[in-house]
Amino acid sequence: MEVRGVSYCYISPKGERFKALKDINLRIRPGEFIALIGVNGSGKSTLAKLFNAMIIPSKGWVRVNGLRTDVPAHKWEIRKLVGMVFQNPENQIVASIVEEDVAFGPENLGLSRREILKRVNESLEAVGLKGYNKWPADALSGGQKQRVAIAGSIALKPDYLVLDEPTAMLDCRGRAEILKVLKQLSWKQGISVVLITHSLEEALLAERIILLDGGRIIKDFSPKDLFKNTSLLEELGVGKLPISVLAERLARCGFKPPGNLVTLDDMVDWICSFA
Amino acid sequence: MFIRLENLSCIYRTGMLQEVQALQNVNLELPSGCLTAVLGETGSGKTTLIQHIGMLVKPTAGRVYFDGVEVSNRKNKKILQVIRQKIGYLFQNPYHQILEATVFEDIAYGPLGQGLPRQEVENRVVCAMEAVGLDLAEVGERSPFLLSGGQLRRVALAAVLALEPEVLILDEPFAGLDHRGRKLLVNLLTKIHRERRLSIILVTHSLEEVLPLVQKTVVLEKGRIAFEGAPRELLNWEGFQRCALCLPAVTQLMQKLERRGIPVRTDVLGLDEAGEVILNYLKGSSDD
Repeated sequence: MEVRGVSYCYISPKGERFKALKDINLRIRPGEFIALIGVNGSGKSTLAKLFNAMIIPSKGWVRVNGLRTDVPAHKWEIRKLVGMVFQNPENQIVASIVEEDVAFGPENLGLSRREILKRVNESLEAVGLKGYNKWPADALSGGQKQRVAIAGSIALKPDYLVLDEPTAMLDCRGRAEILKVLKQLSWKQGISVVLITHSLEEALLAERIILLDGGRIIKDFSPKDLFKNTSLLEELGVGKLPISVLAERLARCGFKPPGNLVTLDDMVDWICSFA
Repeated sequence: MFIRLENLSCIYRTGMLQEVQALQNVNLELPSGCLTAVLGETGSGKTTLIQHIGMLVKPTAGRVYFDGVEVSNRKNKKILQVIRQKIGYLFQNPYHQILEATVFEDIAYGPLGQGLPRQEVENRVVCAMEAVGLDLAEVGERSPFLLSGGQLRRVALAAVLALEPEVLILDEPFAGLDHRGRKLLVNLLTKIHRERRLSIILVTHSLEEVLPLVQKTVVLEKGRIAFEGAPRELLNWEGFQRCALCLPAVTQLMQKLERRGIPVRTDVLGLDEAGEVILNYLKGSSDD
Protein backbone atom coordinates (compact mmCIF):
# COMPACT_ATOMS: atom_id res chain seq x y z
CA MET A 1 0.00 0.00 0.00
CA GLU A 2 1.35 3.37 -0.92
CA VAL A 3 0.19 6.83 0.16
CA ARG A 4 1.77 9.71 -1.76
CA GLY A 5 1.46 13.43 -1.03
CA VAL A 6 -2.02 12.99 0.43
CA SER A 7 -4.04 15.82 1.94
CA TYR A 8 -7.66 15.62 2.98
CA CYS A 9 -10.20 18.36 3.69
CA TYR A 10 -13.53 18.01 5.43
CA ILE A 11 -16.13 20.52 4.28
CA SER A 12 -18.91 21.46 6.69
CA PRO A 13 -22.50 22.00 5.53
CA LYS A 14 -21.78 25.73 5.81
CA GLY A 15 -18.91 25.35 3.38
CA GLU A 16 -16.07 25.75 5.85
CA ARG A 17 -13.00 23.68 5.09
CA PHE A 18 -11.07 21.79 7.71
CA LYS A 19 -7.78 20.20 6.75
CA ALA A 20 -7.52 16.85 8.53
CA LEU A 21 -4.45 15.48 6.73
CA LYS A 22 -1.49 17.29 5.22
CA ASP A 23 1.04 15.84 2.79
CA ILE A 24 1.09 12.24 4.02
CA ASN A 25 3.64 9.84 2.53
CA LEU A 26 3.62 6.23 3.65
CA ARG A 27 4.35 2.69 2.45
CA ILE A 28 2.93 -0.37 4.14
CA ARG A 29 4.62 -3.67 3.33
CA PRO A 30 2.93 -7.10 3.31
CA GLY A 31 2.55 -8.66 6.77
CA GLU A 32 3.66 -5.54 8.62
CA PHE A 33 2.10 -4.83 12.02
CA ILE A 34 1.79 -1.07 12.40
CA ALA A 35 0.43 0.97 15.29
CA LEU A 36 -0.99 4.36 14.42
CA ILE A 37 -0.93 6.74 17.37
CA GLY A 38 -1.75 10.41 17.96
CA VAL A 39 -4.09 12.62 19.97
CA ASN A 40 -7.83 13.02 19.31
CA GLY A 41 -8.21 14.93 16.07
CA SER A 42 -4.70 14.22 14.79
CA GLY A 43 -6.06 12.50 11.67
CA LYS A 44 -5.76 8.79 12.52
CA SER A 45 -9.29 7.77 11.56
CA THR A 46 -9.25 9.96 8.44
CA LEU A 47 -6.07 8.25 7.29
CA ALA A 48 -7.65 4.85 7.96
CA LYS A 49 -10.66 5.75 5.82
CA LEU A 50 -8.37 6.68 2.94
CA PHE A 51 -6.87 3.18 2.95
CA ASN A 52 -10.03 1.47 1.68
CA ALA A 53 -11.55 4.19 -0.47
CA MET A 54 -14.19 5.16 2.09
CA ILE A 55 -12.91 8.65 1.32
CA ILE A 56 -10.73 9.86 -1.58
CA PRO A 57 -7.75 12.21 -1.06
CA SER A 58 -8.30 15.92 -1.77
CA LYS A 59 -4.72 15.93 -3.07
CA GLY A 60 -2.24 13.13 -3.83
CA TRP A 61 -3.14 9.46 -4.18
CA VAL A 62 -3.42 6.13 -2.38
CA ARG A 63 -2.55 2.89 -4.16
CA VAL A 64 -3.48 -0.55 -2.83
CA ASN A 65 -1.65 -3.42 -4.59
CA GLY A 66 -1.22 -1.08 -7.55
CA LEU A 67 -4.88 0.03 -7.64
CA ARG A 68 -5.54 3.71 -7.11
CA THR A 69 -8.42 4.43 -4.73
CA ASP A 70 -9.59 7.45 -6.73
CA VAL A 71 -10.55 5.26 -9.70
CA PRO A 72 -14.21 4.37 -9.04
CA ALA A 73 -13.88 1.04 -10.89
CA HIS A 74 -11.30 -0.12 -8.34
CA LYS A 75 -13.43 0.61 -5.31
CA TRP A 76 -14.90 -2.86 -4.73
CA GLU A 77 -11.63 -4.68 -5.32
CA ILE A 78 -9.95 -2.33 -2.82
CA ARG A 79 -12.67 -2.90 -0.23
CA LYS A 80 -11.95 -6.61 -0.53
CA LEU A 81 -8.22 -6.05 -0.10
CA VAL A 82 -8.53 -3.73 2.90
CA GLY A 83 -10.72 -4.87 5.80
CA MET A 84 -11.91 -2.40 8.44
CA VAL A 85 -12.90 -2.95 12.07
CA PHE A 86 -14.25 -0.16 14.26
CA GLN A 87 -14.42 0.71 17.94
CA ASN A 88 -17.92 -0.36 18.84
CA PRO A 89 -18.60 -4.06 18.21
CA GLU A 90 -22.36 -3.44 18.39
CA ASN A 91 -22.26 -1.35 15.23
CA GLN A 92 -20.61 -3.98 13.09
CA ILE A 93 -22.60 -7.13 13.65
CA VAL A 94 -25.20 -7.41 10.87
CA ALA A 95 -26.71 -10.85 11.48
CA SER A 96 -28.11 -12.55 14.58
CA ILE A 97 -26.11 -15.77 14.26
CA VAL A 98 -22.31 -15.81 14.28
CA GLU A 99 -21.83 -17.79 11.05
CA GLU A 100 -24.35 -15.69 9.16
CA ASP A 101 -22.53 -12.56 10.20
CA VAL A 102 -19.15 -13.88 9.09
CA ALA A 103 -20.68 -15.17 5.83
CA PHE A 104 -22.23 -11.80 4.99
CA GLY A 105 -19.19 -10.53 3.07
CA PRO A 106 -18.31 -13.72 1.18
CA GLU A 107 -21.99 -14.18 0.20
CA ASN A 108 -21.91 -10.80 -1.47
CA LEU A 109 -18.90 -11.91 -3.51
CA GLY A 110 -21.10 -14.59 -5.08
CA LEU A 111 -18.92 -17.49 -3.92
CA SER A 112 -20.13 -21.10 -3.89
CA ARG A 113 -21.81 -22.39 -0.74
CA ARG A 114 -18.94 -24.75 -0.08
CA GLU A 115 -16.35 -21.96 -0.40
CA ILE A 116 -18.37 -19.69 1.89
CA LEU A 117 -18.57 -22.36 4.58
CA LYS A 118 -14.88 -23.03 4.26
CA ARG A 119 -14.06 -19.36 4.68
CA VAL A 120 -16.40 -18.98 7.65
CA ASN A 121 -14.78 -21.90 9.43
CA GLU A 122 -11.25 -20.77 8.64
CA SER A 123 -11.96 -17.22 9.75
CA LEU A 124 -13.60 -18.27 13.01
CA GLU A 125 -10.66 -20.54 13.74
CA ALA A 126 -8.18 -17.73 13.03
CA VAL A 127 -9.84 -15.51 15.65
CA GLY A 128 -10.10 -18.31 18.20
CA LEU A 129 -13.85 -18.86 17.85
CA LYS A 130 -13.88 -22.31 16.30
CA GLY A 131 -17.22 -24.01 16.89
CA TYR A 132 -19.11 -20.79 17.64
CA ASN A 133 -20.91 -20.97 14.24
CA LYS A 134 -24.45 -21.30 15.61
CA TRP A 135 -24.11 -18.94 18.54
CA PRO A 136 -26.50 -15.97 18.72
CA ALA A 137 -24.34 -12.86 18.27
CA ASP A 138 -25.91 -11.07 21.23
CA ALA A 139 -24.90 -13.85 23.61
CA LEU A 140 -21.23 -13.06 22.98
CA SER A 141 -18.98 -10.89 25.13
CA GLY A 142 -17.60 -7.62 23.77
CA GLY A 143 -14.26 -9.22 22.94
CA GLN A 144 -15.97 -12.12 21.19
CA LYS A 145 -18.16 -9.76 19.14
CA GLN A 146 -15.11 -7.79 18.13
CA ARG A 147 -13.45 -11.04 17.05
CA VAL A 148 -16.53 -11.95 15.02
CA ALA A 149 -16.18 -8.57 13.30
CA ILE A 150 -12.53 -9.38 12.54
CA ALA A 151 -13.57 -12.83 11.26
CA GLY A 152 -16.10 -11.17 8.94
CA SER A 153 -13.31 -9.00 7.56
CA ILE A 154 -10.75 -11.74 7.03
CA ALA A 155 -13.35 -14.00 5.41
CA LEU A 156 -12.89 -11.72 2.39
CA LYS A 157 -9.21 -12.70 2.41
CA PRO A 158 -7.86 -9.16 2.67
CA ASP A 159 -4.19 -8.26 2.42
CA TYR A 160 -4.66 -5.44 4.90
CA LEU A 161 -6.68 -5.14 8.08
CA VAL A 162 -7.23 -1.69 9.56
CA LEU A 163 -8.63 -1.46 13.09
CA ASP A 164 -9.79 1.82 14.58
CA GLU A 165 -9.42 1.55 18.38
CA PRO A 166 -10.80 -2.01 18.45
CA THR A 167 -10.06 -2.50 22.15
CA ALA A 168 -11.35 0.81 23.54
CA MET A 169 -14.62 -0.65 24.81
CA LEU A 170 -13.37 -4.05 25.90
CA ASP A 171 -12.47 -5.50 29.25
CA CYS A 172 -9.03 -6.84 30.02
CA ARG A 173 -9.71 -10.32 28.74
CA GLY A 174 -11.26 -9.00 25.50
CA ARG A 175 -8.29 -6.73 24.91
CA ALA A 176 -5.78 -9.54 25.33
CA GLU A 177 -7.82 -11.76 22.96
CA ILE A 178 -7.86 -9.16 20.20
CA LEU A 179 -4.17 -8.34 20.44
CA LYS A 180 -3.24 -12.02 20.30
CA VAL A 181 -5.38 -12.51 17.19
CA LEU A 182 -3.84 -9.49 15.47
CA LYS A 183 -0.30 -10.73 16.08
CA GLN A 184 -1.17 -14.10 14.65
CA LEU A 185 -2.84 -12.64 11.56
CA SER A 186 0.23 -10.61 10.80
CA TRP A 187 2.79 -13.33 11.55
CA LYS A 188 1.09 -16.48 10.38
CA GLN A 189 -1.17 -15.25 7.59
CA GLY A 190 0.95 -12.37 6.37
CA ILE A 191 -1.90 -9.87 6.65
CA SER A 192 -0.71 -6.27 7.14
CA VAL A 193 -2.31 -4.97 10.32
CA VAL A 194 -2.81 -1.27 11.04
CA LEU A 195 -3.90 -0.77 14.64
CA ILE A 196 -5.13 2.65 15.74
CA THR A 197 -4.76 2.98 19.48
CA HIS A 198 -4.39 5.39 22.39
CA SER A 199 -2.55 2.81 24.44
CA LEU A 200 1.24 2.96 24.21
CA GLU A 201 1.33 -0.50 25.76
CA GLU A 202 -0.62 -1.79 22.76
CA ALA A 203 1.53 0.18 20.34
CA LEU A 204 4.60 -1.58 21.72
CA LEU A 205 3.27 -4.87 20.30
CA ALA A 206 3.65 -3.54 16.76
CA GLU A 207 6.80 -3.70 14.63
CA ARG A 208 6.45 -0.11 13.54
CA ILE A 209 4.81 2.89 15.16
CA ILE A 210 3.54 5.88 13.20
CA LEU A 211 2.85 9.06 15.15
CA LEU A 212 0.42 11.60 13.73
CA ASP A 213 -0.06 15.15 14.93
CA GLY A 214 -2.05 17.95 13.36
CA GLY A 215 -2.67 15.84 10.24
CA ARG A 216 1.02 15.12 9.60
CA ILE A 217 3.25 12.14 10.20
CA ILE A 218 5.64 13.33 12.91
CA LYS A 219 7.52 10.08 13.49
CA ASP A 220 7.78 6.67 11.93
CA PHE A 221 9.79 4.51 14.27
CA SER A 222 10.34 1.13 15.89
CA PRO A 223 8.93 0.31 19.35
CA LYS A 224 12.47 0.41 20.74
CA ASP A 225 12.70 4.07 19.81
CA LEU A 226 9.46 4.84 21.62
CA PHE A 227 11.44 5.13 24.83
CA LYS A 228 13.89 7.57 23.29
CA ASN A 229 10.99 9.83 22.42
CA THR A 230 9.15 9.93 25.71
CA SER A 231 9.38 13.70 26.07
CA LEU A 232 8.01 14.23 22.55
CA LEU A 233 5.10 11.87 23.23
CA GLU A 234 4.35 13.65 26.49
CA GLU A 235 4.57 17.05 24.85
CA LEU A 236 2.15 16.06 22.10
CA GLY A 237 -0.27 14.65 24.67
CA VAL A 238 -0.04 11.11 23.27
CA GLY A 239 1.00 9.62 26.56
CA LYS A 240 3.68 8.20 28.67
CA LEU A 241 4.27 4.63 29.71
CA PRO A 242 3.75 4.07 33.44
CA ILE A 243 7.27 2.72 33.63
CA SER A 244 8.72 5.96 32.21
CA VAL A 245 6.77 8.04 34.74
CA LEU A 246 8.10 5.89 37.55
CA ALA A 247 11.67 5.96 36.23
CA GLU A 248 11.60 9.76 36.11
CA ARG A 249 10.28 10.03 39.62
CA LEU A 250 12.98 7.73 40.99
CA ALA A 251 15.66 9.62 39.03
CA ARG A 252 14.51 12.90 40.60
CA CYS A 253 15.21 11.42 44.03
CA GLY A 254 18.70 10.28 43.19
CA PHE A 255 17.99 6.76 41.92
CA LYS A 256 18.44 6.96 38.17
CA PRO A 257 17.46 3.74 36.38
CA PRO A 258 19.59 2.76 33.37
CA GLY A 259 18.43 4.19 30.03
CA ASN A 260 17.77 0.81 28.38
CA LEU A 261 14.94 0.00 30.76
CA VAL A 262 11.97 -1.03 28.60
CA THR A 263 9.69 -3.59 30.24
CA LEU A 264 8.27 -4.02 33.73
CA ASP A 265 10.69 -6.94 34.19
CA ASP A 266 13.66 -4.68 33.41
CA MET A 267 12.45 -2.35 36.14
CA VAL A 268 12.01 -5.27 38.55
CA ASP A 269 15.54 -6.55 37.81
CA TRP A 270 17.00 -3.12 38.40
CA ILE A 271 15.21 -2.65 41.73
CA CYS A 272 16.21 -6.16 42.83
CA SER A 273 19.86 -5.30 42.14
CA PHE A 274 19.72 -3.10 45.25
CA ALA A 275 18.84 -6.04 47.49
CA MET B 1 -28.03 12.78 46.79
CA PHE B 2 -28.20 9.52 48.64
CA ILE B 3 -28.93 6.72 46.19
CA ARG B 4 -30.25 3.35 47.28
CA LEU B 5 -31.06 0.29 45.21
CA GLU B 6 -33.26 -2.32 46.83
CA ASN B 7 -33.59 -5.87 45.46
CA LEU B 8 -33.20 -4.53 41.96
CA SER B 9 -33.72 -7.03 39.14
CA CYS B 10 -33.92 -6.52 35.43
CA ILE B 11 -34.90 -9.08 32.82
CA TYR B 12 -34.61 -8.34 29.12
CA ARG B 13 -36.98 -10.08 26.69
CA THR B 14 -39.22 -11.39 29.45
CA GLY B 15 -40.87 -14.72 28.67
CA MET B 16 -38.88 -15.29 25.50
CA LEU B 17 -36.58 -18.22 24.86
CA GLN B 18 -33.41 -16.17 25.25
CA GLU B 19 -34.56 -14.33 28.37
CA VAL B 20 -31.63 -12.38 29.83
CA GLN B 21 -31.40 -11.72 33.54
CA ALA B 22 -29.29 -8.57 33.37
CA LEU B 23 -29.52 -7.72 37.08
CA GLN B 24 -30.39 -10.04 39.94
CA ASN B 25 -31.36 -8.79 43.39
CA VAL B 26 -28.94 -5.92 43.52
CA ASN B 27 -28.76 -4.05 46.82
CA LEU B 28 -26.53 -1.01 46.87
CA GLU B 29 -26.14 2.24 48.79
CA LEU B 30 -24.24 5.18 47.37
CA PRO B 31 -23.83 7.93 49.97
CA SER B 32 -24.28 11.52 48.89
CA GLY B 33 -21.13 12.90 47.28
CA CYS B 34 -19.59 9.46 46.77
CA LEU B 35 -17.36 8.83 43.76
CA THR B 36 -18.06 5.27 42.70
CA ALA B 37 -16.57 3.08 39.96
CA VAL B 38 -18.75 0.29 38.56
CA LEU B 39 -16.55 -2.46 37.15
CA GLY B 40 -16.91 -5.91 35.65
CA GLU B 41 -16.47 -7.74 32.37
CA THR B 42 -18.44 -6.87 29.25
CA GLY B 43 -21.99 -8.12 29.60
CA SER B 44 -21.90 -8.21 33.42
CA GLY B 45 -24.70 -5.62 33.77
CA LYS B 46 -22.76 -2.40 34.38
CA THR B 47 -24.63 -0.27 31.86
CA THR B 48 -28.00 -1.73 32.87
CA LEU B 49 -27.27 -0.84 36.50
CA ILE B 50 -26.47 2.80 35.80
CA GLN B 51 -29.41 3.08 33.43
CA HIS B 52 -31.60 2.26 36.40
CA ILE B 53 -29.89 4.88 38.54
CA GLY B 54 -30.23 7.36 35.68
CA MET B 55 -34.00 6.64 35.56
CA LEU B 56 -33.71 5.55 31.94
CA VAL B 57 -35.28 2.12 32.46
CA LYS B 58 -37.85 0.73 34.81
CA PRO B 59 -36.79 -2.21 36.96
CA THR B 60 -38.46 -5.58 36.40
CA ALA B 61 -38.52 -5.86 40.18
CA GLY B 62 -37.13 -3.87 43.09
CA ARG B 63 -36.81 -0.18 43.84
CA VAL B 64 -34.54 2.80 43.32
CA TYR B 65 -34.49 5.65 45.87
CA PHE B 66 -33.02 9.15 45.65
CA ASP B 67 -32.83 10.80 49.10
CA GLY B 68 -35.56 8.42 50.23
CA VAL B 69 -37.91 9.17 47.32
CA GLU B 70 -38.76 6.16 45.23
CA VAL B 71 -38.05 6.98 41.60
CA SER B 72 -38.84 3.55 40.18
CA ASN B 73 -42.49 4.26 40.97
CA ARG B 74 -43.57 6.53 38.15
CA LYS B 75 -46.76 7.85 39.76
CA ASN B 76 -45.57 11.18 41.11
CA LYS B 77 -44.46 12.73 37.83
CA LYS B 78 -43.67 16.17 39.27
CA ILE B 79 -41.14 14.92 41.80
CA LEU B 80 -39.58 12.64 39.23
CA GLN B 81 -39.17 15.54 36.85
CA VAL B 82 -37.39 17.57 39.52
CA ILE B 83 -35.03 14.69 40.30
CA ARG B 84 -34.41 13.98 36.63
CA GLN B 85 -33.16 17.51 36.16
CA LYS B 86 -30.49 16.82 38.76
CA ILE B 87 -29.05 13.85 36.88
CA GLY B 88 -26.42 14.19 34.17
CA TYR B 89 -25.90 11.07 32.07
CA LEU B 90 -23.09 10.46 29.60
CA PHE B 91 -23.88 7.64 27.20
CA GLN B 92 -21.35 5.11 26.05
CA ASN B 93 -21.82 6.22 22.47
CA PRO B 94 -21.49 10.00 22.11
CA TYR B 95 -23.51 9.96 18.87
CA HIS B 96 -26.56 9.12 20.97
CA GLN B 97 -26.59 12.50 22.64
CA ILE B 98 -25.49 14.99 20.01
CA LEU B 99 -28.52 17.02 18.97
CA GLU B 100 -27.48 20.28 17.38
CA ALA B 101 -25.67 21.50 14.28
CA THR B 102 -22.80 23.26 16.03
CA VAL B 103 -20.73 22.38 19.09
CA PHE B 104 -21.80 25.56 20.89
CA GLU B 105 -25.51 24.99 20.28
CA ASP B 106 -25.25 21.38 21.28
CA ILE B 107 -23.76 22.20 24.68
CA ALA B 108 -26.32 25.03 25.14
CA TYR B 109 -29.24 22.73 24.36
CA GLY B 110 -29.73 21.36 27.89
CA PRO B 111 -29.40 24.62 29.84
CA LEU B 112 -31.71 26.37 27.32
CA GLY B 113 -34.25 23.61 27.84
CA GLN B 114 -34.12 24.28 31.58
CA GLY B 115 -35.25 27.82 30.82
CA LEU B 116 -32.07 29.59 31.90
CA PRO B 117 -31.42 33.12 30.59
CA ARG B 118 -29.25 33.37 27.46
CA GLN B 119 -26.32 34.99 29.28
CA GLU B 120 -26.23 32.27 31.93
CA VAL B 121 -26.41 29.60 29.22
CA GLU B 122 -23.47 31.15 27.41
CA ASN B 123 -21.43 31.25 30.61
CA ARG B 124 -22.14 27.62 31.22
CA VAL B 125 -21.15 26.61 27.68
CA VAL B 126 -17.87 28.51 27.96
CA CYS B 127 -17.07 26.94 31.35
CA ALA B 128 -18.03 23.44 30.22
CA MET B 129 -15.91 23.66 27.07
CA GLU B 130 -12.95 24.89 29.06
CA ALA B 131 -13.41 22.09 31.58
CA VAL B 132 -13.19 19.36 28.92
CA GLY B 133 -10.38 21.06 26.99
CA LEU B 134 -12.29 22.20 23.91
CA ASP B 135 -11.27 25.50 22.37
CA LEU B 136 -14.32 27.71 21.81
CA ALA B 137 -12.70 29.71 19.00
CA GLU B 138 -11.49 26.58 17.24
CA VAL B 139 -14.49 24.24 17.39
CA GLY B 140 -17.43 26.28 18.78
CA GLU B 141 -19.01 26.88 15.39
CA ARG B 142 -18.06 23.56 13.84
CA SER B 143 -20.45 20.67 13.31
CA PRO B 144 -20.01 18.03 16.04
CA PHE B 145 -20.28 15.34 13.40
CA LEU B 146 -17.15 16.53 11.62
CA LEU B 147 -15.06 16.24 14.78
CA SER B 148 -12.92 13.25 15.61
CA GLY B 149 -14.32 10.53 17.86
CA GLY B 150 -12.41 11.75 20.91
CA GLN B 151 -13.42 15.37 20.39
CA LEU B 152 -17.06 14.33 19.99
CA ARG B 153 -16.85 12.59 23.36
CA ARG B 154 -15.66 15.83 24.89
CA VAL B 155 -18.62 17.69 23.38
CA ALA B 156 -21.03 15.14 24.85
CA LEU B 157 -19.38 15.43 28.27
CA ALA B 158 -19.41 19.25 28.13
CA ALA B 159 -23.13 19.15 27.33
CA VAL B 160 -23.74 17.04 30.44
CA LEU B 161 -21.58 19.27 32.66
CA ALA B 162 -23.36 22.40 31.43
CA LEU B 163 -26.51 21.08 33.14
CA GLU B 164 -24.63 21.33 36.47
CA PRO B 165 -26.10 18.05 37.71
CA GLU B 166 -26.03 16.85 41.32
CA VAL B 167 -25.59 13.28 40.20
CA LEU B 168 -23.19 12.57 37.35
CA ILE B 169 -23.39 9.19 35.64
CA LEU B 170 -20.69 8.36 33.10
CA ASP B 171 -20.68 5.24 30.92
CA GLU B 172 -17.09 4.50 29.84
CA PRO B 173 -15.98 8.13 29.82
CA PHE B 174 -12.33 7.20 29.15
CA ALA B 175 -12.94 5.07 26.04
CA GLY B 176 -11.59 6.75 22.93
CA LEU B 177 -9.90 9.60 24.77
CA ASP B 178 -6.21 10.29 24.23
CA HIS B 179 -3.72 10.53 27.09
CA ARG B 180 -4.23 14.27 27.50
CA GLY B 181 -8.00 13.82 27.50
CA ARG B 182 -7.77 11.10 30.13
CA LYS B 183 -5.58 13.20 32.38
CA LEU B 184 -7.90 16.14 31.93
CA LEU B 185 -10.91 14.00 32.80
CA VAL B 186 -9.25 12.63 35.93
CA ASN B 187 -8.41 16.17 37.09
CA LEU B 188 -11.86 17.41 36.17
CA LEU B 189 -13.64 14.66 38.10
CA THR B 190 -11.42 15.25 41.13
CA LYS B 191 -12.11 18.98 40.98
CA ILE B 192 -15.87 18.95 40.50
CA HIS B 193 -16.24 16.23 43.04
CA ARG B 194 -14.30 18.25 45.62
CA GLU B 195 -15.89 21.60 44.85
CA ARG B 196 -19.50 20.62 44.24
CA ARG B 197 -19.76 17.43 46.29
CA LEU B 198 -21.39 15.70 43.36
CA SER B 199 -22.31 12.05 43.47
CA ILE B 200 -20.39 10.55 40.57
CA ILE B 201 -20.90 7.03 39.26
CA LEU B 202 -18.73 5.84 36.43
CA VAL B 203 -18.57 2.62 34.48
CA THR B 204 -15.09 1.87 33.23
CA HIS B 205 -12.37 -0.63 32.43
CA SER B 206 -9.64 1.93 33.12
CA LEU B 207 -8.61 0.92 36.63
CA GLU B 208 -5.29 2.68 36.17
CA GLU B 209 -7.05 6.04 36.03
CA VAL B 210 -9.89 5.56 38.49
CA LEU B 211 -8.43 3.65 41.44
CA PRO B 212 -6.55 6.65 42.86
CA LEU B 213 -9.70 8.72 42.32
CA VAL B 214 -12.72 6.85 43.67
CA GLN B 215 -13.91 6.09 47.18
CA LYS B 216 -15.92 3.04 46.33
CA THR B 217 -15.71 0.26 43.77
CA VAL B 218 -18.50 -2.11 42.80
CA VAL B 219 -17.81 -5.19 40.69
CA LEU B 220 -20.65 -6.88 38.85
CA GLU B 221 -20.58 -10.49 37.76
CA LYS B 222 -23.46 -11.94 35.73
CA GLY B 223 -25.83 -9.30 37.03
CA ARG B 224 -24.96 -9.68 40.70
CA ILE B 225 -22.71 -7.65 42.93
CA ALA B 226 -19.56 -9.74 43.35
CA PHE B 227 -17.56 -7.11 45.24
CA GLU B 228 -18.19 -3.84 46.98
CA GLY B 229 -15.49 -1.90 48.81
CA ALA B 230 -12.62 0.56 48.79
CA PRO B 231 -10.13 0.49 45.88
CA ARG B 232 -7.36 -0.93 48.05
CA GLU B 233 -9.57 -3.81 49.15
CA LEU B 234 -10.38 -4.47 45.49
CA LEU B 235 -6.68 -4.94 44.64
CA ASN B 236 -6.51 -7.61 47.35
CA TRP B 237 -9.75 -9.31 46.31
CA GLU B 238 -9.37 -12.89 45.11
CA GLY B 239 -12.01 -12.53 42.36
CA PHE B 240 -10.04 -9.85 40.52
CA GLN B 241 -8.85 -12.01 37.60
CA ARG B 242 -12.06 -14.01 37.35
CA CYS B 243 -14.01 -10.82 36.61
CA ALA B 244 -11.58 -9.86 33.81
CA LEU B 245 -10.51 -6.67 35.58
CA CYS B 246 -7.43 -5.04 34.11
CA LEU B 247 -4.54 -5.22 36.52
CA PRO B 248 -2.89 -1.79 36.46
CA ALA B 249 0.77 -1.76 35.36
CA VAL B 250 1.86 -0.49 38.81
CA THR B 251 0.10 -3.38 40.52
CA GLN B 252 1.78 -5.83 38.14
CA LEU B 253 5.12 -4.24 38.98
CA MET B 254 4.57 -4.44 42.73
CA GLN B 255 3.42 -8.05 42.50
CA LYS B 256 6.51 -8.98 40.50
CA LEU B 257 8.70 -7.29 43.12
CA GLU B 258 6.95 -9.11 45.92
CA ARG B 259 7.48 -12.43 44.16
CA ARG B 260 11.18 -11.65 43.96
CA GLY B 261 11.23 -11.22 47.73
CA ILE B 262 11.26 -7.41 47.83
CA PRO B 263 9.22 -6.27 50.85
CA VAL B 264 6.74 -3.89 49.20
CA ARG B 265 2.99 -3.58 49.50
CA THR B 266 1.16 -4.59 46.32
CA ASP B 267 -2.06 -2.66 46.86
CA VAL B 268 -0.71 0.76 45.85
CA LEU B 269 -3.16 3.13 44.18
CA GLY B 270 -1.45 4.72 41.24
CA LEU B 271 2.04 5.72 40.20
CA ASP B 272 2.66 8.36 42.87
CA GLU B 273 2.18 5.90 45.67
CA ALA B 274 4.18 3.20 43.88
CA GLY B 275 7.05 5.66 43.45
CA GLU B 276 7.03 6.45 47.16
CA VAL B 277 7.00 2.79 48.21
CA ILE B 278 9.85 1.91 45.85
CA LEU B 279 11.86 4.96 46.89
CA ASN B 280 11.54 4.01 50.53
CA TYR B 281 12.80 0.57 49.73
CA LEU B 282 15.72 1.86 47.65
CA LYS B 283 16.70 4.36 50.34
CA GLY B 284 16.53 1.67 53.02
CA SER B 285 18.69 -0.70 50.96
CA SER B 286 21.30 1.93 50.15
CA ASP B 287 21.64 2.84 53.82
CA ASP B 288 22.53 -0.73 54.80
